Amino acid sequence: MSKTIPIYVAVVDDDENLCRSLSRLLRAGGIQPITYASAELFLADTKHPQFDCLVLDIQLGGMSGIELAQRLVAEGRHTPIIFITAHDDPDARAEAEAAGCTAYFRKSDSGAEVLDAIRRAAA
Amino acid sequence: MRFPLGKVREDRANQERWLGRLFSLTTVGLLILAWASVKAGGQAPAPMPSHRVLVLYSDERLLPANVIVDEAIHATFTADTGDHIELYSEFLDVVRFPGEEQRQRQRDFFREKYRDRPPDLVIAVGGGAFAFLMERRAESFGGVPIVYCSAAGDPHPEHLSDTRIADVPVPDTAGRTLEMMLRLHPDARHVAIVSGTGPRDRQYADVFREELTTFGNRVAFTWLTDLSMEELRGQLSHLPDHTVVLYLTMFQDAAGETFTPRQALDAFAPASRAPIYGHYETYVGHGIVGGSTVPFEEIGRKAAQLGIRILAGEDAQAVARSESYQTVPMFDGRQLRRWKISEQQLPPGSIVRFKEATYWEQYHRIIITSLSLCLLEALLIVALLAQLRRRRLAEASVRENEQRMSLAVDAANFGIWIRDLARNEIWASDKWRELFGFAPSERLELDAILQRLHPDDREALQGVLAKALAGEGRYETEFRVMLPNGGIRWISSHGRVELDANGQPVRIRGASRDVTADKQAELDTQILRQQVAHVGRISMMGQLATALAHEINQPLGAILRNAEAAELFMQETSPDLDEIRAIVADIRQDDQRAGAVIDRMRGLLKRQTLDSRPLDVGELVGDVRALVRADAAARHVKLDVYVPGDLPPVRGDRVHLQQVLLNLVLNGMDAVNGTGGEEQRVSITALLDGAQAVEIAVSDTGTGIPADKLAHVFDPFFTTKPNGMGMGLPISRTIIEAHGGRFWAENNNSGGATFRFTLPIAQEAAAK
Repeated sequence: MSKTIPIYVAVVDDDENLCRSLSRLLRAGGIQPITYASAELFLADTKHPQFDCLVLDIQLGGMSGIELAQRLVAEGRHTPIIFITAHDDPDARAEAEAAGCTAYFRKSDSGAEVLDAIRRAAA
Repeated sequence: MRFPLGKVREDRANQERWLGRLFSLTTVGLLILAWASVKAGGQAPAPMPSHRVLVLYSDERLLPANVIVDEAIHATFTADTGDHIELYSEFLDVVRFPGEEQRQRQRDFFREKYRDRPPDLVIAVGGGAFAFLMERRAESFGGVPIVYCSAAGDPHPEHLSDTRIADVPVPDTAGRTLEMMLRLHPDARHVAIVSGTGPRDRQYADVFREELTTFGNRVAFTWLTDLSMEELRGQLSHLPDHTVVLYLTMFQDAAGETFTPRQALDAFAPASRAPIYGHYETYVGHGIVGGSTVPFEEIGRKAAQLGIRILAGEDAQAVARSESYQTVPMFDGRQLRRWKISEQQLPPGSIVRFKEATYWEQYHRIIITSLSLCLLEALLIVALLAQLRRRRLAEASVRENEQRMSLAVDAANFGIWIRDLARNEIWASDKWRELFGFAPSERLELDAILQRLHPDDREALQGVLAKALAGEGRYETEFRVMLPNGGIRWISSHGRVELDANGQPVRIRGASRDVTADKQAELDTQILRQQVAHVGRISMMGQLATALAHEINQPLGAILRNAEAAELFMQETSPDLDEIRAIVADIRQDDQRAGAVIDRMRGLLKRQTLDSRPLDVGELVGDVRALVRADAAARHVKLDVYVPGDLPPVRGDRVHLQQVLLNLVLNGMDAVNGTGGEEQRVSITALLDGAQAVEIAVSDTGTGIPADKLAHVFDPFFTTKPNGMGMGLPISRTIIEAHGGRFWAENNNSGGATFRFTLPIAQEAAAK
């Protein structure tokens, strides 16, 4: 595995502690995270590099993770999206899948699986 | 019956011979009697009769007149003198034994016969007897006083110089009869006079013929005499109109047949087409309408009275002159009616014999009774008819009413019924039978009806009926009927008890209505309400849980990621220890953050949501029971409630406590559901726990809580259910503890689990 081409991942989560802990995990796994506290902040960042994958929380302060995903798809951006949510709601899961996510995780799920999913999506 | 003349004479000769023998026998008999009386006299001598009286009759013994006269004479003598008069009777029978020769024989016989017992007085009955005595006066009881007892038509020869003869002549009754009959028949033009051909008949007819001259030309007289009985009958049957008949005597007809005049009358009277009159009392009743008579009884009595006076020493002529006869108009009632003669037309003092009572007179009692009965019956019939009519009208009106009623009750879906308590009979309309699933002709019994009820409702209805009968007088209730086809129908029924005059219930009347549709709507509403409540419950719990989960999952998620990151960092050859220290610090912070979430929630419940008030435990439990009833039924779980009525109220927040109980009951139902046990039951029990608290327990018959998990059931996120959040019991415990109570769980000895909590008794109640 070559480290010369880093994987850039955007993490959007309104919980500061969670953002920090997930970023640590991604870095430990060799992935370059850029964190945003909300969907609006993510959209507002025009200088960001080309992300290989988006990791979104569903429940966000303003625009929800699903709305963000729908909007990106609508804009023709096809960056793979992975949802990680605090509680497993069947309705939310169905919505997420309909919006076109590549993976769906609970916050209690194993970090290794989340890392594998990101690597696959970015490949 | 007619005999040739010669034969009659021969018979009479034979009779004479018999008489002689009879005489000898009588003599023997008398001797025996005399001997007997001498023997008896030796002891007590019989009183010698003071007088002997001989009654000598012209005619035979059985001539009706003689019978009457003889009786009257005997009765009069006996009444006036007791046994002191000895009476002898002799019958000359001059009609059948005519002729001087016969008289002489009789004279000789009497002389011999009465030689030793000469009469002191002779009563001559009839002209023949008187003539017999007078003809040979010296030979026939010479010197003995004679009372001439004559009848109408008897001759009264010139002998009245004899002072020992008393003769009271009988008036001319035939003439008076003729006058009377003409008065009674004013339109009569002819009078037919019937008389026989015997010597006495002729004699009397001759006497009467002279009398007729006094009647002049008022009417035409026709003599019906010298006729045989047959001829007489023929004549009488062809009499012209306006004819009346006067009958004198007929001892003998032209054919030589002898009769008593009355027998003759009997023979010809029926043939006559005209009314017949006669002047002898003895004719009355044998075909005559009537006549002017001197009753023979009167004649006999007067003769005896004269005789008694003469025997007493009175002068015979003087005695006779002091006496006279009154004629008596006498009639046959039947003939009067036959000839349409009213009694008003009769002369004053008339005697009407054979006053054959009219049906009215004869049977008036029976008639009155019968008529009364008929009338009564008629009245009854009329009354019955009237009643029938009234009843028909009433029935028609009742039918009309019933039709109207049934229209109304049908329209309202009502079935009506009447229960007769005395006769234990139940009547019900067809609609009612349809409602309860009974055939139209099926006999209705209370038990059978109760049997139709849903078992859960049966007892309740019996109680309601008993209360109504015991004095409430009416009831209104609802119950389920289990139809024979398996369906269930909700019935609303109200009834009213009817009392008799003594206030005793006699019948219950009522109406039942199918309220299944209403009930279904109500049930639907209830289910909806329960669903709403359920949703509310879910949402309240869910909101709490979601909020909690979110708040707690964030720190937990962060802890997990930090831990995983730390592991990866540690795998590097030279781990960045600063990074790892930062991670561990974040983990501790997130852990504290999670604990703070729960503390904050507890604080939230304690601080603001408790609205404590005194609560009735029964009501609280009842509310929850009502909420889960539909769920329990749907899940086939039996829900039992045991709450003593005398529990004191507790203090608490109704809504929160309902949530706790509801959560426990739903948990219980979840626990028993799917166990497949034959008894799926959840019970709510309340009881007093010491003086300050009430303990409420919710038990189930499920599989219980595994022993190793029992300690953890109140831990947050502990759940045995696939979809369980694990927050119900922690929140419930929080709520109970916020009320100042305790909350714990245990397994039952008999299986299943029981969750118990206590609530403080409201201080107002506890203070009492």
